[in-house]
Amino acid sequence: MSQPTPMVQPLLMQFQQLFFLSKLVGVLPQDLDKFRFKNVLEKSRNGMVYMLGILMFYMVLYNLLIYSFGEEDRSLKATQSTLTFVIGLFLTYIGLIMMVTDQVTALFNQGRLGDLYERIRVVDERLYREQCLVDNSSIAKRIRIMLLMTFVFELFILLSTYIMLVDYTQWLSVLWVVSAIPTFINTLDKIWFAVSLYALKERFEAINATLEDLVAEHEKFLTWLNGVDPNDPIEDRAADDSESQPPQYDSNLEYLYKELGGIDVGSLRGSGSKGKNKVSPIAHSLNSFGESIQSPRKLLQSNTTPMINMAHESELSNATKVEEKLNNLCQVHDEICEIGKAMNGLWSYPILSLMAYGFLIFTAQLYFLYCATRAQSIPSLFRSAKNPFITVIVLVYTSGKCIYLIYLSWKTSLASKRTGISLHKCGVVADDNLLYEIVNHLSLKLLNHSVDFSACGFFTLDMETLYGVSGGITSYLIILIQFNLAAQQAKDAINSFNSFNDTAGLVGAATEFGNESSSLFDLVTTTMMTPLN
Amino acid sequence: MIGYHIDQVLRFHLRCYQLIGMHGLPLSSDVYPRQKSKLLNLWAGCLLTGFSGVVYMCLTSDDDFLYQGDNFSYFNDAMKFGFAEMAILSIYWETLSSQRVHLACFWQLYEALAATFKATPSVRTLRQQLLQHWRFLLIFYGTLLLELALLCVYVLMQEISRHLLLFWITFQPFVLVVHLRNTQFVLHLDLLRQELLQLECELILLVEYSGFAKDSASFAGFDEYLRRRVREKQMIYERINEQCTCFTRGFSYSVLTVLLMIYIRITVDCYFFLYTTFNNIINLDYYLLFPAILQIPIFLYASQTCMQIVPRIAYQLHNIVTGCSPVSLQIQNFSLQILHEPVRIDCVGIVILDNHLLTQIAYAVCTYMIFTVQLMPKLSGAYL
Repeated sequence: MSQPTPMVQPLLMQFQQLFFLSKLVGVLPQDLDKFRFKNVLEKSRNGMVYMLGILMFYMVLYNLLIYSFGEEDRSLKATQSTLTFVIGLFLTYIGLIMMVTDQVTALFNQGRLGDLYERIRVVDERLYREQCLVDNSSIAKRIRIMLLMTFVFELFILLSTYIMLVDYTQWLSVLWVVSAIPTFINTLDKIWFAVSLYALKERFEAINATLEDLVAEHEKFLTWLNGVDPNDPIEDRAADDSESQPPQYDSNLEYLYKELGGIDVGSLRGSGSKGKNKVSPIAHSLNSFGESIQSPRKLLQSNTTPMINMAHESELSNATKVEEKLNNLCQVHDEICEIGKAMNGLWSYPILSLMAYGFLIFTAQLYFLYCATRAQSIPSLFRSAKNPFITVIVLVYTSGKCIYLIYLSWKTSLASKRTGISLHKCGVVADDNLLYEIVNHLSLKLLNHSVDFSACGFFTLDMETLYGVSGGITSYLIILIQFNLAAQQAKDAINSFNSFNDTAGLVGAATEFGNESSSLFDLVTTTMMTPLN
Repeated sequence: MIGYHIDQVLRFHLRCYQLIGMHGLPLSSDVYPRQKSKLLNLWAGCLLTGFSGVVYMCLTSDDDFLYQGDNFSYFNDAMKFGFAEMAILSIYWETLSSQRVHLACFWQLYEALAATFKATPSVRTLRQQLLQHWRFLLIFYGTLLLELALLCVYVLMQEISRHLLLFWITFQPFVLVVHLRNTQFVLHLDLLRQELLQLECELILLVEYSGFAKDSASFAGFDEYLRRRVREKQMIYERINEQCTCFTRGFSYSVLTVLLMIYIRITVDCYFFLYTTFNNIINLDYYLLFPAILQIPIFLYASQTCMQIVPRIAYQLHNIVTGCSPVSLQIQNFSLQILHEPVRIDCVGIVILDNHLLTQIAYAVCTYMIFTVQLMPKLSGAYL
């Protein structure tokens, strides 16, 4: 470790565009100049004030939006079903809540976010020292694609809704633009999380690739060993490591089985083995597996040969040397796991609010789509549900955000678990007692250090959550539609009763002179009223 | 791969799957593998466009492909076609796309493992092969024949209206393809199960042998011998696990969509079965649901049996009697490896495919039944 600290590109260099945009729209408060020149995220008071100002501004605008578009709702209240009205009211502020959660969390975390990236830089340096290179260049591309997709989705939803569904003759309708702000801010914030998570996943994968390289190198080394000295009877190694030659041990096992059954045919096969165990037939047969006693020597040989020829050298054949490397890699692995947990901690509330938003909006949008196809009025903030195509785009956008985060968390978690598998491959292929001890120790360590992402501990961010959520959405949708149907039928019944009432009233007025007809009318009224009550 | 090839029975069925575009890889005995692979890709592409064209036609046509009587039935028929299209898309997409790499890896590993398990491949007769794959064969031919028999009975018994004719002519091919895909999953899982069982048997032999050596007789190189055997088993397990990963990666999306399609069909058809009985409409096509109901448990059972062998392997491993520290170190290593590499068969990580999923599906179908049965009188217009 005495060598000078190698230069690795800090991860944040790839975040330039994203940071400027985030700074501009008020997602992050950190210092702009420090970021530009030193690629670090540092606390900034001015940034904080700016961000608070923007937050206030957004809140005022959003409330204005709700107020100005709420006029329609108040006039429509009579015709809307109660359920639709209540759902609309409940979900009015959810977008705003999500945005405020994101921004306030970003304000609170402004110091810690910088530390996180600093830790990632340190990890990169340690990986670099182990000749394990991480390529950050794809991250900038990723960010650009995500930003592009965000713009495309937001603009499409905003413009198509504005053109098709908003009455743009009134100047106040320009306020509709504000409706896109919460989702846009939220997406920007989540891009930070997603890309950082992706970077962690790449680091896990780099570690795994290094371990797999060790294995591949050692396998090559072993085949080379066999190629150099074909007379050396190490057929079991050849069979294990090159996968091509069928080994003999199955016949050995058959043989063993016979042996256990008491049939002694060992002398037929064991002719090539050493004669020192020929005392008893059983002992002799135990010795006759077609190989066995020579193997310690073979092991020794495989350890010494690489010193002669440098063309094929395997690190795994030198246990003491590789011990340090494996230890370091596992420590880095632990550190990345810790970073993952810290990152999850920083974004836990925003992710929770996003998931809640995703679940509620997905259900509500589908429900309102149903209402719109039944020609019922829906809350004006959810007017995009009037058009099935826009609804599909909205749903894809919202669910895409949630599912991508879940998918990425799951993948990262899998990549971290994959390290244990690669480590064991190293151990098995090297087949060295000292190395087995190291591997066992590190393997236990890895078992205790797994990274699992969760949203404040409410649910884990893995694909199993999707199963539950999709089931929940379907059930709620069916229940909502059923209630809506029932309400609609009640309304229809009342309407038909009222019209019947009117005609009956007319009939009653026409036949006013007869008492019996009015009593008939009473009878009709009571019979019609009973099922309703 | 040198020397060993997949046996005849397997090869025949893989050819069957090639014929319906689900196995996009040339077999090892093919003369021109590259051309063959291109041809298979082309064929899968043709099938995909054909099926998608049918779905497009059904969804857009004004004719009676989907039930036009009321909106709810129309929606349900459209949903069935929608999910069928999803399943078809994912099946052929996996044949065409990068997923085939995983499948190729699966078969490569299978051949390598078969070569290590069986030292003499040529002596196996057809009868032995049939015995080896009897589970798969039973499932493959059983479900296929049942399906065809029910279809014949249906054609003979049911008075067929134009809607029924058009619907079943267009929808039945999807059902067949999806069910065949399901049997393909079962085939792969059955091979995995066989390998795991073989590994377990060999471990049992080792256990017996180690006990025997401990009690009766031992010799100088025995511990080293035992250690190397354990290591061999460890490498075999590693390969089986890799094969399992290849399976889940290679079939991830189609497992999900195939299960979804069958599940949606069961839910919808169960509802309409109740609905038609409620309204005294004579319709026999619900008997066609029977093979679909069989498919899910067959698949889940196959995957569960695979997963259940692993704990037994670990158990046998720790039964090996030894007093020697290198051997116990090796056993520890193997045991830790099993902890790190559990055989877990899931679809895109969403849900583990075991019988627990079966109970969940049953719960869900019952719940939705209750919801929709509640809706039934309202939709039929009885109250209006």
